[in-house]
Amino acid sequence: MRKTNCLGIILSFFILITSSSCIEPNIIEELGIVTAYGFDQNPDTQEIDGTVVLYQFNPDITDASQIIHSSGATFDTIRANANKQSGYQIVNGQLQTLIFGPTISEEGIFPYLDTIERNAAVSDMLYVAVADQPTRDLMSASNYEEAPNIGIYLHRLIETAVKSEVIVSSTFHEFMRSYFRVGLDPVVPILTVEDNKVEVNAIGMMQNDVLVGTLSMDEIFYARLLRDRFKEGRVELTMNLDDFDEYITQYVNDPRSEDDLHVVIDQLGSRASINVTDTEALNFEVDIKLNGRVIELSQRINLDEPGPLKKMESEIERQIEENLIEVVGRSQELGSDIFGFGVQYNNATRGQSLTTDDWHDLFPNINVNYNIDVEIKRFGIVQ
Amino acid sequence: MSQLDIPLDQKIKAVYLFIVLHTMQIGVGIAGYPQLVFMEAGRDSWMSIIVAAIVLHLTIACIVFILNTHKDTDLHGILTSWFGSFIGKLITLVFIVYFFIMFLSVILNYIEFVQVFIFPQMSSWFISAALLTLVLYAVLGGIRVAVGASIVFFFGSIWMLGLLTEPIALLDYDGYFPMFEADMRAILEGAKITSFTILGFELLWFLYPYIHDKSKVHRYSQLAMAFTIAMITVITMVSIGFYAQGQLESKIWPLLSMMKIISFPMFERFDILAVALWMIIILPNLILLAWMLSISSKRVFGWKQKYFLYLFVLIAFICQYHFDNRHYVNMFTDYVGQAGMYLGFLFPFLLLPFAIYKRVKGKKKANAKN
Repeated sequence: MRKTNCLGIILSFFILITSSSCIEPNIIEELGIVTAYGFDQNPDTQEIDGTVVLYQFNPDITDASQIIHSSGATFDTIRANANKQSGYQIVNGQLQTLIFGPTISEEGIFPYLDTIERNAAVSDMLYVAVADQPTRDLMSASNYEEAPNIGIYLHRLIETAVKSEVIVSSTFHEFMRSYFRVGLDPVVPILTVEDNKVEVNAIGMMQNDVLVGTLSMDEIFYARLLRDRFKEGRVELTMNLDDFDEYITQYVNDPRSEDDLHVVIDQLGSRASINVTDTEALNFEVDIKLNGRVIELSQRINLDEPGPLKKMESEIERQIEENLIEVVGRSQELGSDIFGFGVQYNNATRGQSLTTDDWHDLFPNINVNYNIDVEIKRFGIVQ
Repeated sequence: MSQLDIPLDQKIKAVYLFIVLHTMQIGVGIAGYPQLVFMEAGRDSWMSIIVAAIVLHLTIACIVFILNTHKDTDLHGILTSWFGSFIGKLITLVFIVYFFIMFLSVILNYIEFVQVFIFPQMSSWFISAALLTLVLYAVLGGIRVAVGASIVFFFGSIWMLGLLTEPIALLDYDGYFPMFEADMRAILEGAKITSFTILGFELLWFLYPYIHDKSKVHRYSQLAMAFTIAMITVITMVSIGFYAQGQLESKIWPLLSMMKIISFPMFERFDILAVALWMIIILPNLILLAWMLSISSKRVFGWKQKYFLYLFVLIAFICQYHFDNRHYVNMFTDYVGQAGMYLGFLFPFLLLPFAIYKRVKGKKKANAKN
């Protein structure tokens, strides 16, 4: 017994030692690690122009990042062509952000995503974003804070916005899930350059994989309200000052506008459910429960009394409903169901297989009723 | 020939059956299973699993009933005493071939994991050489080492189930509705696919004589089956909620793809580690299969167990070298599944009438003596 054990151990060591050179080495100092790709359709040729942001882990070089422009018909050819201009071996393993220029996002971005899904080396948690100008210009913005390069900055930028619940998250996995889910369209952040610095300034509404419209930063709140849950969100509402006339303890002259009352609510928690009330007539009912605290008021109102507090809550409900009707109405015009009405419709109509195209035909005709319940839990440390 | 006389120091306790049978069932198949069952039964895959679970538990009850008819013998011994030495040898030989193809399909599938996920250029002979050396080492140590290795590897890998909390946090509950859309045929097709995944319990046929406390065999084998079923239910339900329909249908290994989103501050991509760790999930399969192959061959042909072990390892090494692409891997996996349907699930029920007959006859004899 002992003899055979020894033999086994010796054999294992022998095989391990002689074979450890069978695998191709990837020495990190010799790699150009891509952190972001930008893609634009070249108007003159059939090819795509790619912008590749590279990063090197090498303690000897001070400027560890570089941007390479290359072109090719496919994603992988762009990577391979970029390698012609670099002494480093370009690899996709750390890819964090994919950005599509307007020329591609208006035609459909899905064809470019296949290799991301197919290649096991690429993470599913990278962000998919759309630029409102050619990505070549976007990614040459030179101010990217203390980030090592623009790719990492872009990733941080989007991640911060997602974590603070400002935009709807659109990782590659989530994008694909919305794309494949019948009755739900993907959303993507839209990036733009302001003062030589990239910023998120809107989210794009997609129909399947085509960008059809945008929502401003204020309107994103309503999309997110129906699509996701808030845990610590924030919203600013503008109300008519006349409605609160009787409650205002001391009127101050507001230079912003004389008859508006600005309210900011934060620590906002929400729970929304979409229900189908009539599948034939396409009637939907949306129940939303919101709670939060008032953090800013442009006029002093004593919220400690039930009267003004009730009034405030009902005004917020009315405001949110108005805005929701507008945002949903616009997405119906554009034919992009980013809220997931179709998912609930599909669930309510068992047995009939709904396709994405069917739903895009039906979606503009749906009617939605809103029941909104707002509760102001706190209002800071003043009355 | 029919009664095996196994010394006490080579026997194991019945409680280990829980882990041994469970690790035999969970292997390479589980990584791709959610997609396969979803293709058939869709969102109602859980119903397929329930159907398969009922059949599985009945099959185990049947196997244990037959084994309990005789004390201290394995399938080969039972068949020999009932139908004579020729048929006994023939059917055991069929099982040997079946287990060998299973052995090969595990190796081929694992090589594919490694080449797709981590090292595309790693040569397949190297992976199989590494695996087969370990198998050789464990099986040469005897049944106790083989079982001990599977217990260690079981605890080395079971914690990975806890990592599913990350995909669970990203579940989309709309993915489970509408329910009850699949028709009966689809559910049965799904149950058939499920039965491929939970194969491996047939090892009980050959492990039985080595168990010390036979009265507990039934309890622990059934518990092992229940644990396996619970595990594949969780994995399947998480996959369905995590992916949209079109997405799940396109993933070859949904379970490994789900691991792609897991990331630790010091470890960016967990799926790389998961594939490496998958080796310790499949090693118990390989070790126990190799043990069974060699011991049964010894029973049939009567040479030393060691020689058969070397022979099978060598054949496996040569075979994997020749069948090294996705087409063959699929083909082998399908063969194992098809054969398993008959050898795993149908075969015990065919033997059941004979076992009942033997028992009734045995009782009559006992009564006549009195």
